[in-house]
Amino acid sequence: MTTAESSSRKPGVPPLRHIGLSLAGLVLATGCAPSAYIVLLEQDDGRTGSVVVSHAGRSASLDKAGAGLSLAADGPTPVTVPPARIKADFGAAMAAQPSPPQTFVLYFEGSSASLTPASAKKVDDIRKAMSARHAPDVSIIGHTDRAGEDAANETLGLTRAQVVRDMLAKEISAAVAVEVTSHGERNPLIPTKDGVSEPGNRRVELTIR
Amino acid sequence: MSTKLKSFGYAFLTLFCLFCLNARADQGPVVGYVKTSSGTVVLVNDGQPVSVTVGTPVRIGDHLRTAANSSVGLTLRDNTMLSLGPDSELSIDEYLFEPTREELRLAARLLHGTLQFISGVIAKLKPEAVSIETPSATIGVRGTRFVVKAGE
Repeated sequence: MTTAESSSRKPGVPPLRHIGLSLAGLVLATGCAPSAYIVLLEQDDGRTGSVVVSHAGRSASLDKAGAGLSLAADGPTPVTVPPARIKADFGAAMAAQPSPPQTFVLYFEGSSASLTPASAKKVDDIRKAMSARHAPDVSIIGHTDRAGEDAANETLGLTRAQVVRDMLAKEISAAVAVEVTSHGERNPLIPTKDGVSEPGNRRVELTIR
Repeated sequence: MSTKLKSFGYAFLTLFCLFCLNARADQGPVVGYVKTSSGTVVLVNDGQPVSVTVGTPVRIGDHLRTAANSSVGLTLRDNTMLSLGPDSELSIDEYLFEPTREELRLAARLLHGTLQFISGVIAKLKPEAVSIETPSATIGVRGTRFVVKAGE
């Protein structure tokens, strides 16, 4: 590599700014990165979000996967960090990423706490998912549609969540924590007017983390 | 000191100790749990460092520290995932996750080392409620995955 670089150089003493440029080139080629930096990455779903970074009265944003900012004391500046360097610096942090949480939605018949036949069949999948995880924590949130009184729906939501919890009693006993709550009719999946019966809103959302 | 006063003193001391114990046990709500851990990882919250294992609860004010060749990963109640590489320290400064009351906030600080951040429900519902600090940056998150190194 050194030979290739020196052979491409013209003989004689280069002007100062050229020395500066070739030094920068060398730094990039050897994969040197700033001591503090941020790199935006693609999410599991293939999408990329964005971040806004500010410090010392300056701010910069990133919205493309792989784009980076050096985080110096005088504020953020764009930087390109080679993938090999990102891997060297963040391999351990990336490998320590927990398994992504899984959410299951179970639906209920009418204004009851009985699962629909289709949802009853899904309970086994939840059991398997819970057993596959080491030290899971679980949240079970009961919901209702907007038919009926608010207070009655708070209670119905909680009853639905408790029914699901009881079905999974064995798996839950191995969990580090379980949170059973009701959102009543306050958090509909399908927005409707008050008083409307909507099967899509009669549900329990169970998240395994 | 009279016996009566002495026994009063003991009773007071016992009550005081119980109060202290209770204060230690009641350190505020759990905001997440440790899900992965390798090497030497400790949790500090104005006391002795406690060794961390999978399943250890994390609360507001906790500092997680990894030693050399160590790492840790945690998942918060809103499904945010934070993981640290070796020689790193992260503190959870603020956390609120009450979606039905629209009370949402996540503030954490990477004091040194490396962090991978994967956003959860808070960043989806209220992006401006999430901020990650390092010694030389304040990072506002708009629903995303990133890695950040805090420098030496």
